[in-house]
Amino acid sequence: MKQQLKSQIIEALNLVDLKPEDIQDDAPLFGEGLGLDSIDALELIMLMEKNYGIRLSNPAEGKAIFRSVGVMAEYISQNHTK
Amino acid sequence: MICITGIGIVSALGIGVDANRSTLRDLRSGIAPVRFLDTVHRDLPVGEVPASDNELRSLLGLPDDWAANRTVLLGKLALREALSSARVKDKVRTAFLNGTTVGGMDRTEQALCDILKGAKAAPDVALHDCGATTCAIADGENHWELVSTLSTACSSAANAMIVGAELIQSGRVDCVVAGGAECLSRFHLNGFNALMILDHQRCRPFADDRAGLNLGEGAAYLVLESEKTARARKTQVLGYLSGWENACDAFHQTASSPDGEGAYRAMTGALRSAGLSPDDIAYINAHGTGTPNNDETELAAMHRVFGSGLPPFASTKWLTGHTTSASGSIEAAFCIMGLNAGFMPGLSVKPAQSLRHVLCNSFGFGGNDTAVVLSAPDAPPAVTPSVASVDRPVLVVEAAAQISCQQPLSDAWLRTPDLCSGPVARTVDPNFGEWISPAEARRMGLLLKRTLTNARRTLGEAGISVPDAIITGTGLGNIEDSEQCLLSMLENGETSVSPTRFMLSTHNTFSSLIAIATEAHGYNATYSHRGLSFESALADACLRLRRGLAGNVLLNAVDGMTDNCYRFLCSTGELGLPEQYPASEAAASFLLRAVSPDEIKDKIMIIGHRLFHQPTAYELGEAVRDMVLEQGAPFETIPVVFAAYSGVAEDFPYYGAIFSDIFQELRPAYYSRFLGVSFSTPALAFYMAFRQMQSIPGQVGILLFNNSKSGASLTLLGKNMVLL
Repeated sequence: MKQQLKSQIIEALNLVDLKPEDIQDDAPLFGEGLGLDSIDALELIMLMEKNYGIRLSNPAEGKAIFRSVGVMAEYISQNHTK
Repeated sequence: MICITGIGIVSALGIGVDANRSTLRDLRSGIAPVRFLDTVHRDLPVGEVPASDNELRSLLGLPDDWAANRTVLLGKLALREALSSARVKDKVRTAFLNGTTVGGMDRTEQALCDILKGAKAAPDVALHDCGATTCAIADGENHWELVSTLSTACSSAANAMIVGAELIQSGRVDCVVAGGAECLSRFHLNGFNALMILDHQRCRPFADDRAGLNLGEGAAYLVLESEKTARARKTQVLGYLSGWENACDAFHQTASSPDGEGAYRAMTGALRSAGLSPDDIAYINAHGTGTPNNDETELAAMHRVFGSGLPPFASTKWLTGHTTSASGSIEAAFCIMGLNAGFMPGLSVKPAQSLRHVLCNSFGFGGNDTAVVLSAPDAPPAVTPSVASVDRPVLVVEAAAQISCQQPLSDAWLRTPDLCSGPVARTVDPNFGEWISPAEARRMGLLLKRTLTNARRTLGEAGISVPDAIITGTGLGNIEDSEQCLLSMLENGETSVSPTRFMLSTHNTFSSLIAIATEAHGYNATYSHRGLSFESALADACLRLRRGLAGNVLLNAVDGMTDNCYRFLCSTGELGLPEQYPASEAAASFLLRAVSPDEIKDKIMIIGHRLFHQPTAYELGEAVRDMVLEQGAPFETIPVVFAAYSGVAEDFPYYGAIFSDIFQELRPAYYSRFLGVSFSTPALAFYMAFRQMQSIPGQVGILLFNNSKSGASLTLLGKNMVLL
């Protein structure tokens, strides 16, 4: 699940110079981590909707969910609809 | 002193000045459920102009089958009202500067699927691009000295006004009709929805519970003229455009910096140019979109400027919706109404003091931030916006780079350029990795990579790290991202659009990308006026350098050609014509500088540059004579005229007669044979002229000439000339 999610993140955000194993499960995705910004957060919201059937109506909810791949995977496993 | 002598306006508040003024005073919001836009997003309220396309046609006295997009119809209504209220007559030299980004997207998004399956485009779809939309608004309404289009996203109309003011002060024209027009489209409704910044209720700018913006539509134009012209015409003065400034936040394509640096610079610059202090401002019409990010950072910037003396402020977007490219002139028109009738737009409280000076903010994607100061008819500005004292500077081209179907990194091709071939000539791209890091490149398509590479190479050659101003011409904008946005929206029934691609889809993405990469907070403009986009940008660059508003300008041009774009332009009759040279892509950058006359030895000087709208051969002849006289050298030093002729027989009269009537001895070089046909090809010709002149010793000049239905331009470059 985490491996698959990492690949999906790399593809959605076009992180061409990264491989899934370069992303630590508990490393922060935003801020100092991968240098992502608010638009990347929106892409991650789209990723969750497209692949896991999870809809967020308020982008602010993403902040807690996208802390790390580990947190995101946990949220998806509890809330996915497909 | 810039007088405002006429207004024309259409918005969700009504059609015409009277309707808008009374609805605005009564604070009756025009935000309502969707009536006219054919979208699945019925849950998103919008600020639509209360008339269908055919009702708009009927108001204009046009038949139902008159080909137009909705932006054209809204623009024409506002333009007619502006011209008639100011009683502008043909005898005054008048320019039309229009701001738009959406252009004819409302028609394109309905027709594109059929066109890509092979259907012929209806005539209204041919008005897709911003410049075609502007020309359709302008045509038949007045005799225009020049016409052009600014496209800096949501600050477009405000920037049209400030360029108009500069143009009047330079003496090029007496009068400018400036503003913007924008209709709603599914394209940008879905784009803003993808950014998750649309409120599902009526928006609440600056409120703690604000949850985003509502989109709106409309058009407004202000008639600007010099005091001398207004006085000579005995026209009523409705107010003054007393100060203005455009600055770049240079932080992010869509998010504003936490302390609102760009907004702060725009507001302080506008006050400075008006000769006013913050205490003089009685009201601020804020940009105030209602998004958490905009309002927070705009408020932070207002606190920085005004400190504890922050005057009453309001956003009028909860009344009209965010009218994007038209918002700058719509809200400036509201301010003029308020100044004349003694009310503060968007507020129910009465002003505590008489309204003399107000500030109006207008911010766009790419951190493109503009502020203007507007003053009441009885409060003319004390000073003319200051211009640094430069002793008649000479403009020189110092550095350049290009990417086209010819070799990008060497100039060997200039001696014997290959003729280009194919329906679309193949672009020779350099290895971008040399100039752009992988982290920077992850969101960039080819057009953005070409732009940043050219900019970095040019700045490197000139030894400059931060340019004073960045000005770009692009006929079609960032088509790679806008096309993908549009196709995904059409294919999945408006369910998902990439926020990244929408963020990058505005025409000013190129200029902002360079500003962010170089941390350039100065003037940042983009022109999208078909084949005259680059020359419009060049005209603005010359204006700013000559008036001492910038010491150097990074001037860019870029246009691409995807397979779908080529198919689209063939169906509208733009490309694929018999005898036409191959279509192509073009990207170029130049560093222009103002220098003193003792620094010009062996430098390539811009001796003259002039835009026209449908000029006669006589007018062109006079302009060429003026430029040649100015350089103090005989015609013989100009061996060649680079002409933008595209090979199509029906366009030849634009060139053939000119050559036989006025240039006579001069040899024409039709450069599109080896550079291809693109809205930005004239920038490649400018590059060729620059490099060829560098390699020729002694005295030499080259004339560049471009003539089309959407406008004409003449540029004279010279080397080692004695300027008179």
